[in-house]
Amino acid sequence: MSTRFASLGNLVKKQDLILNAVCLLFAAAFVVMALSNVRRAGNFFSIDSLFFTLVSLMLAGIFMIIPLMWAYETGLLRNLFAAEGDDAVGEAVPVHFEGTTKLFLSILGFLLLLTVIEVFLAYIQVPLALMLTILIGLSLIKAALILAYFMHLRYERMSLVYTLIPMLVICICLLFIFFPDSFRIFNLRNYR
Amino acid sequence: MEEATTPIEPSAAATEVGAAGTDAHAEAAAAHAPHGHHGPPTGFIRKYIFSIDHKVIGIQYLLLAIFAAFTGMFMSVLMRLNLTWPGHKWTILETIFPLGAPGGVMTPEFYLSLVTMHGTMMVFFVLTTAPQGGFGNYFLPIQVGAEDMAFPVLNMLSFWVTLVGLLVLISAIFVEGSTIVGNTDFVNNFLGGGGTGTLGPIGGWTGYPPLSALGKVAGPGQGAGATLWITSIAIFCIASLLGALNFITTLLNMRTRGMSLMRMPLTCWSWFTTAILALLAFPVLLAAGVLLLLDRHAGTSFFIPGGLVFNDVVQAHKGGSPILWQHLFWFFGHPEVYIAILPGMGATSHILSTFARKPVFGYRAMVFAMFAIGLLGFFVWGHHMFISGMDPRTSIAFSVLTLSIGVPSAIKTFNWLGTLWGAKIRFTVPMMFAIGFVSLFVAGGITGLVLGQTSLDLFIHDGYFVLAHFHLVMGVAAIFGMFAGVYFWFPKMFGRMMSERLGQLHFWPTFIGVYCIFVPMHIMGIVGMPRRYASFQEYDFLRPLDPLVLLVTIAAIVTAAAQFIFLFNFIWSIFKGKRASGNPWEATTLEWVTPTTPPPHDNFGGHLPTVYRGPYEFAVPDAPEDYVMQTTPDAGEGNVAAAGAGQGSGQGVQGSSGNGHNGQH
Amino acid sequence: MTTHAHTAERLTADDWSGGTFPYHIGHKKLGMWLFIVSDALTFSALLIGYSYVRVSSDQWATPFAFSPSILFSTSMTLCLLASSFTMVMAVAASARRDRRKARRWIGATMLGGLTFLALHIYEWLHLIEEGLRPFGLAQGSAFAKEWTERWPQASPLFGATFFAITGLHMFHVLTGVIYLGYIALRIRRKTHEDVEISGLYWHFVDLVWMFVFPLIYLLSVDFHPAVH
Ligand code: HEM
Ligand SMILES: [Cu+2]
Repeated sequence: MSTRFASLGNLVKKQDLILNAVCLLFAAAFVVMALSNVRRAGNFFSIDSLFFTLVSLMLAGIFMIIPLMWAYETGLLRNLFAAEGDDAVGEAVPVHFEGTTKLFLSILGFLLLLTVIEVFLAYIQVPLALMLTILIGLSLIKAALILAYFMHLRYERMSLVYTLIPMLVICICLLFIFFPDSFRIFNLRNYR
Repeated sequence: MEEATTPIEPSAAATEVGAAGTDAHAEAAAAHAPHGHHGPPTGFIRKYIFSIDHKVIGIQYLLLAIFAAFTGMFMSVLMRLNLTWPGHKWTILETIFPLGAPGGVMTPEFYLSLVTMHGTMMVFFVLTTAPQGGFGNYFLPIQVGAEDMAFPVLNMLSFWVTLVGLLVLISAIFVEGSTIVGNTDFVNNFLGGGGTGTLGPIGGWTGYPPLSALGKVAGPGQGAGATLWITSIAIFCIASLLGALNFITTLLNMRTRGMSLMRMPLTCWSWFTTAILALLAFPVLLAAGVLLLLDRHAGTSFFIPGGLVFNDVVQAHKGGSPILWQHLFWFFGHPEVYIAILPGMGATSHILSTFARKPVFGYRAMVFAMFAIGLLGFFVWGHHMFISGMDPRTSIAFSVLTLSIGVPSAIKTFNWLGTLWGAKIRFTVPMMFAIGFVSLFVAGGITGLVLGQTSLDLFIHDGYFVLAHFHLVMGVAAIFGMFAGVYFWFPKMFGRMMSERLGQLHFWPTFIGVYCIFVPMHIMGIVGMPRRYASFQEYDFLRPLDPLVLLVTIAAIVTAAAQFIFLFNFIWSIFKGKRASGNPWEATTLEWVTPTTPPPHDNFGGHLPTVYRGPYEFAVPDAPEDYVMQTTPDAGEGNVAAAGAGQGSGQGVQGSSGNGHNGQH
Repeated sequence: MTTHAHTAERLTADDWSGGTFPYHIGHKKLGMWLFIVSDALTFSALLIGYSYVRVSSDQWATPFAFSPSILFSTSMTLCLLASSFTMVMAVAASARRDRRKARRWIGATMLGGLTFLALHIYEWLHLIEEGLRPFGLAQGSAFAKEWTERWPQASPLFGATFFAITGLHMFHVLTGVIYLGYIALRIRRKTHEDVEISGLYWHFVDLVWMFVFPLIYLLSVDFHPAVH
């Protein structure tokens, strides 16, 4: 038992670290954005440039709030928030919930990877039809990942999946019946 | 029907959990459940106006629909009058609509706005509202044995949003060119301006672009009124969506013990199917409506092709396609007609079985036919677009699919006839309306087979043949379903019976009347009379039809007049009708076992019923009466199981639950 | 609003024979799923409409230069993805009954959403300034000059589809942020299911963007950006 709780505590700590790391990363990215803007802008005092810099800095600041608060809380005044009452923590039975931080992180990694691939396709200038096919394929994979893991559908009853997904998919497929007409309009116009 | 005779028992659940103590606990929880939901409200406003009780909301929906139905009917009579005696002066019209009928003579635009208002009112605020929002709201929770809908507050919201939609729609006929609100700054700038010489939107209930997408440059009747019309539709979409997800959740999650899917009354199945259709069809219309509003007010051209000229001015719009609207609209539109008719089918099956004192013939087939109709209903929208310039190859597919809907429809029809076959029928008023429904559904359905064929449709499209077809099969048939429902459930809703005699007096003129209205219209359509024309004076080839036109109008007036008998019967019976017993029709489903009539706030007085059998057990051999309630445990084994629920007994019981109840999904 | 005892009782019997939650999920969650299905269809209809007009037009402008436009919208995408991740973490925390953590993760999610909104609005303003309008292009604007040269036949519907679809999505993000804010504020009174449902909605908004981003942005990449 006690080892289990210990590992839970570790997990919580790990989560804290990850959250703060994510926030710090974002904050850093925005600071970099602001700096690069300052460096690159020909005329720094244009509205555009000012807006961009200020927004970036503001966002960086916002992302800093969480790590700062965390540092404040753990380092200095540990009891500030605890005094407010930790009603639920610990006493109630935890709800059964599948999936670990590691899993979610790897899903996030996958999604990021797929996004990067998509953007890369745009960068190397793939022909439109091919690009469309690949993009739709990748997007479907991404959607499936989000549905299955983030939206937790994988851990629900299969009957729920059977209820929701087919009706949506059928309807969306039916919408594709519109396309012969749009091609036809195109061809009618370009009869030459 | 097999599982209908197999008992199911709550103790099977208990054995799963294991200890008897747990069972007692569960029992206590079940008894407690209704109060956990929400207590009965006090005070007039919380009780009757902003009520979250599904029963009150159901009645509110019903009243809204009755109001809309009478308004729509009034408009249809006006239209008929104008068609029969064009140019006649109706002085009273001028006082109400000075611009629509200057000097008392209806302008063609005013006629068209009447067509639009009539169609929209009838389709959305009568046929979509009453059978689903009204009866579905009132009886679905009761029939599945729930204390309320899954989301009571959302339910209330759906109703009030619907009401706002109706008010916006009604205001549409008053803004444009009216002396009261017309041409104010608000109307001109914000709603896209008043035209002149017309009242209300004239685009029909389908609101086809490009005219409807252009705003007031497109001429009278496309200004502020049309904007309000679209807004009203969009509002209605949202209300229906909220309603639909509420219905589905309630039905799936809140069925009481023993109420397996295959033990639900066919009404519940029909409301369920309808809700799924609404959930999937309305969002598409919502998207289309948003795009149409953008076209009118943000200058986009989703539905507007290039090169349009109005008053010698070339329009700046280009690049869009009116066919896109037709696709989006009818993607919603055809499921919508099934949204209108399916609850009628459910109610008809329910009522036929009750008064034929026989189980529904082929319950399972009925359920599958209903789902087949719902599913196929999504595949056929193109039959409204055969002459739109749609790709002819898709036309063929749509044509074949349309005809294939005939199969499940025929299954339903034959099962209704099978239910009636050899029965000792009790000819009550609800039964007569239910039989009328079958008759009208068949009469209108047959012409559907004609219209479903591309080649034939090309000739009769947009004429009176189509008008007759959809009025019979969707309009009047669904209305008959509603009448059947009102006469059938009135005792439960208001605790009093409606007058049978007045009901008969209402039925016969209505039944004969609608046939006299709509059968001649088929002939007119074949001769070539076009739909949405304010007058046929100029067309000599239509002269021979004049007697028919007159006949139709007289029939329409008589039919309309007969509806006041209903209205009188309805209102009078609420206050003065004979007191009803808890189960006046000797029916079997859960709405007839409520502790009081009308049902108490939580429907079952704190104890949700347990269901032991299918919904239509009439003429059961060896039963003390000729019907067995769904809550009656079987004699013998099942009874023992039920009685032994508290002791967690029931050895043979678990087996029977396993056999009787699998494979429903 | 069902009590726990009630829920437990409903979970005992055979799934479909009544008196149970057949999917083992409560009303609210099922309702949210159904809402998501229907909302997904609204977006599908819009995206299909966009594809329809794009296919039927002679030419479609592809004005988004890889840098900065696409990189900019990629960073928006990253915001949403990251926020989806933080939302999962919030739900996981709430499943452990650690409401304080849950609230903080929700806060992070809201930040992601707000960042997305800010970036998006900036992008809109920028495009509007350049001359993109729902009805086409502003007369005499920078875009108007460039487009007549490069895409003389272009459909005026580029702006229309862009603003309509991203606008509706933006509206969803906004409601999502407000919804999450409400949940975070009252988290002590909310059940785990409530948090989970708000998560479902948020992931759905993210999911929609997974289609909007490639279809609207990546398929409008400017392969040969004009040198300014
Ligand atoms: C007393 C019974 C009714 C009569 C006499 C009647 C009469 C009419 C007339 C004269 C028109 C216009 C025909 C034209 O000029 O194009 C019309 C249109 C229409 N009616 Fe009825 N109607 C009745 C009941 C209903 C019902 C119950 C519904 C419910 C669905 C309904 C739905 C419609 C629709 C959808 C249109 C087409 C509107 C349009 O063209 O946009 N009607 N009706
Ligand atoms: Cu149809």
